[in-house]
Amino acid sequence: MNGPAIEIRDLRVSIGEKEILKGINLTIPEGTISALMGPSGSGKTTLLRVVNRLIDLIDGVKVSGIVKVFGKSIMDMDVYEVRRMSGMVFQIPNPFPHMSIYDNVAIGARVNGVAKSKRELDELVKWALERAMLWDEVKSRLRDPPWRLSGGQQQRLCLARALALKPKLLLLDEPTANIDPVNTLKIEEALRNLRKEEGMTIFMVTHMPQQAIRLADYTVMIYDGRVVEEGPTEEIAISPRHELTRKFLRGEV
Amino acid sequence: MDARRLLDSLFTVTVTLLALAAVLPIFHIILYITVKGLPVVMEAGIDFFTEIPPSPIRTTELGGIAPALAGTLFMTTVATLLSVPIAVLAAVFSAEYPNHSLTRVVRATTRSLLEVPTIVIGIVVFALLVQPFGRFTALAGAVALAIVMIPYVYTYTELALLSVPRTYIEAGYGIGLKRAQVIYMITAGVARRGIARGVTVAIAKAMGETAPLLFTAFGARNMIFGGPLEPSDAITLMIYVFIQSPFEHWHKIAWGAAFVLLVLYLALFLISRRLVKEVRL
Repeated sequence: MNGPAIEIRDLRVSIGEKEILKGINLTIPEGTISALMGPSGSGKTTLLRVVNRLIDLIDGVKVSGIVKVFGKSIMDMDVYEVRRMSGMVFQIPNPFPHMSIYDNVAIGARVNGVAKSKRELDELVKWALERAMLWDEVKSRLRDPPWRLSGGQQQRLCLARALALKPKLLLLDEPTANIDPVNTLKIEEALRNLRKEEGMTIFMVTHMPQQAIRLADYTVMIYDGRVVEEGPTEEIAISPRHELTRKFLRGEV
Repeated sequence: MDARRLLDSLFTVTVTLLALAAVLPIFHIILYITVKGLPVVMEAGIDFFTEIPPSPIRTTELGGIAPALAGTLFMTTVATLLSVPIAVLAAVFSAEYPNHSLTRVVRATTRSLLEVPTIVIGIVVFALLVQPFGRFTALAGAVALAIVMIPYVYTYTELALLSVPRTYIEAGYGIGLKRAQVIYMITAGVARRGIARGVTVAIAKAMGETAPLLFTAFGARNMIFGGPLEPSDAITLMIYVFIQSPFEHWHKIAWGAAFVLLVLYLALFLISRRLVKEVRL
């Protein structure tokens, strides 16, 4: 195992008067899949959005503490550079509705100058769609608008869009919460392959303990803005130390 | 039939009739103008678009409406070029900074501009651009039309931008787009149909205006567009003058001109629908 992909020390986030994260300490090793679990309102999404500083978009947000991504302190970096370091997939599929399937994947690479030529771009789009396990379903209709795809396909398109920047880190916010079981398994397989074959670090919020068990090397439990338990998923699933984790695994919170 | 069903069908019939009553006037106008105007255009032939109107006396020839047509096209085009950038940029600012004091000022100003009778806009432009230079000009007419257009473009655009779901904007930032890129590539892209609708409605409004042109472009019918710094005719101005005259062939020309205006409207809406594809969320 390499160095940490994400290192968080005493992270506090408040929006207006409300403190959402109350001193988070966390290390996510590189090249792993980590699951972030916890009941609704515990701050999972907020934590994820700190890592690519999407949190900055909220009015009246205050962030303190140290957050390092691949060793770089992201609070001191150019915010756009921070966001380009990672790819993000959201809870509800949100492909850009006014762009074709192709452009949805290509836009990031185009704007950030990742691909130099049309051919390079074509190859990148193909690679990203293959990696998202969508290529075979859309290769003959790349010019179609995304609403022609099913919800699960749209979510895989969003995964491809995130991958097109060739990030070393993927952030996913309950990516399968609104997706049918078949598509869920496809996305999970895609994530597994990305870790194994591309060495990507994947940090995902999930509501489903089963998904964490199927997918994640590490699991982090947070509750009310604090980490209550973290460690290898197997350990946490088999012998949770914290009462709250036990309750969560039984589906009681 | 029980009372419930009776009530239901009564309701259906009433609603259908009311809906018909609402759209009927539109069809009536379209039909009436076509019936009155189309034969005139057919009779005059291609000359209707290339010739100047005839003298009111000693002739019953139809001639053409070329000065009015050229004036309407010129002034509408210039008014669009003047108003759309200003209005769209103002709307972008308002949508990005909804609580900024400048936004509040712009919003209040455009709202009230929407309510101002357009003849007042004509008078203001007269005082600013006609009186000081001592001449009526097509440019002054275009400026007056631009002022008429701005609140329409602004209001539609702001509304369209604000109704773009937040999740697309977040996704745009998520792939590292800068603020301007998000506005230009994502927000405006998703809202493109709404923005196009605002521009289309505003152009239609400008093409149909008479009052702001009375003291600005004034009208000039003996030549086909003398330039931006000369007085200019417009289709609406011409209809206004011709329909009030006692000359029968001028009345016919006015109907023909009304038909041409109607065709311009239909073309405008069709082109805008064609050009800007709908965005399905």
